[in-house]
Amino acid sequence: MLAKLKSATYIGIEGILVDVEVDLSKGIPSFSLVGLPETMVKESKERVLTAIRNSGFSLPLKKITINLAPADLRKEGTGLDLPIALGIICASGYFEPELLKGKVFLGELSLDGKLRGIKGILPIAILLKEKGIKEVILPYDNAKEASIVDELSVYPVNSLIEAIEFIKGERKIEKFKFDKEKLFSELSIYDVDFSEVKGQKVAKRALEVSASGGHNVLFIGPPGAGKTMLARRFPTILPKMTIDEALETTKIYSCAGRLPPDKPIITTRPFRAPHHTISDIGLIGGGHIPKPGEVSLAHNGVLFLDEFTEFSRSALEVLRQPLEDGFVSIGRARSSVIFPARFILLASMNPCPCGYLTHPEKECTCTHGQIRKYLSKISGPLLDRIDIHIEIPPITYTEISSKKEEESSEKIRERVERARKIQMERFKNEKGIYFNAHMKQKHIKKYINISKESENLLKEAMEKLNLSARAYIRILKISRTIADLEESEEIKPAHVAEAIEYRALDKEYWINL
Amino acid sequence: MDKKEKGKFFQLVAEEYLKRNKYKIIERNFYTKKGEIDIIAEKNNLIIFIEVRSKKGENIKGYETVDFKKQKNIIESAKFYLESKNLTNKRDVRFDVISINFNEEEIILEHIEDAFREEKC
Repeated sequence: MLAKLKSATYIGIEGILVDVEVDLSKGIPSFSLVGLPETMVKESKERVLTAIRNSGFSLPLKKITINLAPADLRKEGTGLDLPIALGIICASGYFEPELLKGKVFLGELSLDGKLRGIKGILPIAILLKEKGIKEVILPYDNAKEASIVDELSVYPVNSLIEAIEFIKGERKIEKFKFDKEKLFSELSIYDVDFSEVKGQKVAKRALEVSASGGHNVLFIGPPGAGKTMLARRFPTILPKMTIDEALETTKIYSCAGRLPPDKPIITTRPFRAPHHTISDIGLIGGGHIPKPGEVSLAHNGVLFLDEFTEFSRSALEVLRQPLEDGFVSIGRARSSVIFPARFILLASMNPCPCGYLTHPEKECTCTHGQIRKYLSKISGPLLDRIDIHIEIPPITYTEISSKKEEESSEKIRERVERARKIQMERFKNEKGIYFNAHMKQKHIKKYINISKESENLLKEAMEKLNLSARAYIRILKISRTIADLEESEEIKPAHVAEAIEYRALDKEYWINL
Repeated sequence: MDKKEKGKFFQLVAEEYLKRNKYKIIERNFYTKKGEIDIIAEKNNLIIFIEVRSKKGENIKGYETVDFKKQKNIIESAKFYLESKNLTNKRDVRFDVISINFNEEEIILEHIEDAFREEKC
């Protein structure tokens, strides 16, 4: 007796279809699972057998053989419990194998036969849509997440018995409906606001440019100047996520098992602030079975590295690839996966070990060698990838005690959204490009329209400041964003000048040492 | 009663119980290299390999003494039996344990059907 049914699992953040074949034959009663199951899948044996017994079915007194095809792919995850259990019950003759056709089954079983939610539902749902599979039966916990994909009919069930009753047509289950538009229309509420930050005009402007065009920012300043305070308020001015962006980010969170239970889709840009003791693997992702790291969890959002120089050198250097390419590829002996990792890097650091090198009044107590050692932690190639370097001066008494109303996050965000709209219009035919900072070489030629005057200015700056070719391109991109913020089609000299201003700071410290 | 006689006696008790419950006994004390199967019986077209275990007193149940190693030996012996009768993969098979606890006054018999199965990873 043979039962065949479809299920799915995921590798990295991509779904894969799995055929579950169950055969019962005469002989010494036993249970064997073949088809490269990983530990999690192997353990499903105990859950499945106990759940079948506790659901009131007798375990067939047969040699049970289960095959997971394609047999050359390693399968992980607990979602194969339900199809294996259904296969065994079907092959024992409780219902016709015909009834299983055209449906996909997912779900982890608990020992009493109840169903539990699994990870990685969104990538699986997207895969099913691509493969033209219409019906999916899964645990209630996963119903919202799966129904994000419109074309899919999602039938949620609570237990193994409910699933069997539904298959046999003895139980009516309504197609799960869920209003995802509502999630997107909800505005995020923050308990911080830019109006709370006094002064620091230049830094605020830099963050505005960064949020508009997706550029990386580095803050350098003495302790207490407000670097962290500014950074914490950065999410409040970020533009809204589009559905495509939200799906990309949610895919990663889904496979990492980090989706909040009440929210099936990530609609606000993530803001990740790992502590500086993080390892390179924690930052970039990895492990025996590769898992996404902080850079991927910050996809389409912000990665905030406070105390940039305190991070271990190896952790900082692994940032180079994602900063340039927007993804990380992690290779392990058993599998190699690609995680998207396109984020705005927001870093903050002190100018020297004591922190007061740039302070107008306080004396710096560091030696020349100490400062050189401190700054050399941030390598040239890494610095080159950060578009905007901003010096944060300590705030003066008159500034902090001023009663002047500062601009609110909402006002800044309005401007950001306007600049963002221009970019969306510009890149509407370019797949996977959402911000000016994401532009590739061919797009720069196509979309950057620079005046003769501006070009001369840029040429002069290149020669004077010894800028690299990468710096040149990054300046062009920032100029484009600044022009967008002013709703100007052409890049004017003033825009280029501001962009160069953002690049110049690193030279002050790094070149003279 | 020495140990051997005791084993024989309780095996007869178990056989009596099985007969009353409409089992057909087809083999007794089937010896192989791996060990011995106490009783091989048949019911409802099923071949059943039965291990009889007896224990004095109430503290340790008879079935508790059928450990993993013993189960493995029984399964191996069963395979040998099926092969010798040319029945491998032709009949359904079950492994039972009959556990007997006794004292001076009474004998308590417990029959555990489908007591264990072959473990495969």
